[in-house]
Amino acid sequence: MLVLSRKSGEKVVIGNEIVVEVLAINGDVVKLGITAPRATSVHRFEVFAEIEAANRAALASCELERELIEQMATRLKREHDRAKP
Amino acid sequence: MPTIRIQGATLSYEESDIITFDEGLIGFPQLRRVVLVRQSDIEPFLWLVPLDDERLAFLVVDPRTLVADYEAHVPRDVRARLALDADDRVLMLCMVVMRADPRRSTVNLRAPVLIAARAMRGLQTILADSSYRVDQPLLAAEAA
Repeated sequence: MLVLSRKSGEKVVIGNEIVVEVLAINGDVVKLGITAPRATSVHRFEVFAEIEAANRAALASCELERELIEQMATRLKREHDRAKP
Repeated sequence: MPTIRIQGATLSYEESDIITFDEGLIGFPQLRRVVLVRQSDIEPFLWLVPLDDERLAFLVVDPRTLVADYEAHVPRDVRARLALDADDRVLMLCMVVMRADPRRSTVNLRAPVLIAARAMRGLQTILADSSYRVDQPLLAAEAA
């Protein structure tokens, strides 16, 4: 891992297009400003990790008995039809 | 014709059925090519099946069958990432965690999978500033 020390107002550039700027430092909170191309998604790591965990959990569904999936499908169809005007 | 196996069933697909995920799925960057499998007995669920690892399959559902007013306005980075042109249609799907106890089964409304139907390109996005849950109960009664 590359470790850099930066002061408030200083920047780091990643690749040719991504710039991370330290906007402010207050106690143990660092405020970052990130400039990235539109096609680059930027998220807090915790959010990313939560989705990753959810995707892993989702994989277990294909191990379930088919009957359980069919039953849920039937229930949802019923709920959906009932919700229709 | 190439085939995949889901829950003991062997299904065939064609090259033209393959959807490309340039970035993979979140946490699974290696899963670049998937097919979407429709089976009438489990609708509205579908299988999102990665071809790069044949042991894996994700159960997915169109969120609008669960939440009528589900509104994931396609984030601007997604349009660029999918290279979406104006007249392509975006298919929206959410990952399902099905459990033996149906009351504990959930759907991830926070990170939908979006697929450009014509271009056959897809990605999974995380909706920023959204109150949708990662683990929304599938059954309305449990969600209340």
